[in-house]
Amino acid sequence: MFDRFREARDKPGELNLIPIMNLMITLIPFLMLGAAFYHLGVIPTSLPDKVEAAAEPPKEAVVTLNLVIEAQRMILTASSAAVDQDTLDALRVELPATPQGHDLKALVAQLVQIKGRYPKSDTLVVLPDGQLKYAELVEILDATRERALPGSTPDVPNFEPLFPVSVFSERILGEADAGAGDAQPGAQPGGAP
Amino acid sequence: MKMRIRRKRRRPGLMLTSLLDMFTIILIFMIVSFEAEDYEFRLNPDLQLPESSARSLFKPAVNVAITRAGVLVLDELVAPFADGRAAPADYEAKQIPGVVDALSRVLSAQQALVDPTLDDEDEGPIVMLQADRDLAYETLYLVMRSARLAGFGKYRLTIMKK
Repeated sequence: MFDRFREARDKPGELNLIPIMNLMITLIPFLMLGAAFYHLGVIPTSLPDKVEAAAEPPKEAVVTLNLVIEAQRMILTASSAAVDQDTLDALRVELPATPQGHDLKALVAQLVQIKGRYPKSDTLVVLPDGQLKYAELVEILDATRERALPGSTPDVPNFEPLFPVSVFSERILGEADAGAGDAQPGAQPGGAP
Repeated sequence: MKMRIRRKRRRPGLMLTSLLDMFTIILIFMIVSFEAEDYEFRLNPDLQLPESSARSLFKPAVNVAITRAGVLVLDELVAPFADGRAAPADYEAKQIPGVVDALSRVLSAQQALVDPTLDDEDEGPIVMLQADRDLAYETLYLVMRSARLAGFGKYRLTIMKK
């Protein structure tokens, strides 16, 4: 007869989980409203600005690269107030497209070489074909902005900046090789935000 | 007389342990992915952003969305498109009048709110562009030029981080 009472006394009480379930039901919808399921970023850019030419040439050699992007090739040229024209002409390179698309590896190799010679240079003026898709342009900008150094991992990123300042311009028909764009004479790239 | 021993039928209790395990895991995931920001930004559902490895932080600015239906400035359609393209006259004139007008009004309103006595370190008028990944560059450039004519000289292209 007393076994029942002994059993009830010795049996441990069960946890009441109802209050904590209430807390979960309240917290989870609130946190779901603020959860970030995708992450957005920005690519700062600008259009060319018209500025007065500097009275004195810059002390350090800095080149501004112009990248003409056509359907079947890319043309990379350079402009600078501190470098002679022959040297600038030697920097010109034409990169034919591969069956997989634009040859970004060759482009990066050229940019690394130019960056090594003119380390203070950071501006790239892009002059894409009018029909170039926005996603392809972004892919090209990703390649020209920076490159991952050996040993870089997602947890420990190690990047070398190449030409992070991008300026959008427009090609003038009939001057494809010169890479002439929308910029007025003496124009400088606008500072990217 | 047969006596039947009846045991009290106890109602089966809810098995909440498993449910609590699940909720705890979900709660930890939500806490980790929770991000509280003080700005209002709405990603336009009619376009798909391109993916990029850009690491610049997201900063709010005047929101301009370029969809196949047209250009929206602060979620208001200001320039309708036909099949994802602006009017041919706009390409020839190198501007979209609706976009120029809308952004001029926005800039005027912003400048009216700015206190000139404050030492403002802001970079100036900036437009944040959302555009579909398949948008042609000439249309994107046309909208950027229109924004330039309205007084916005700097741009932030919104991308989806890889």
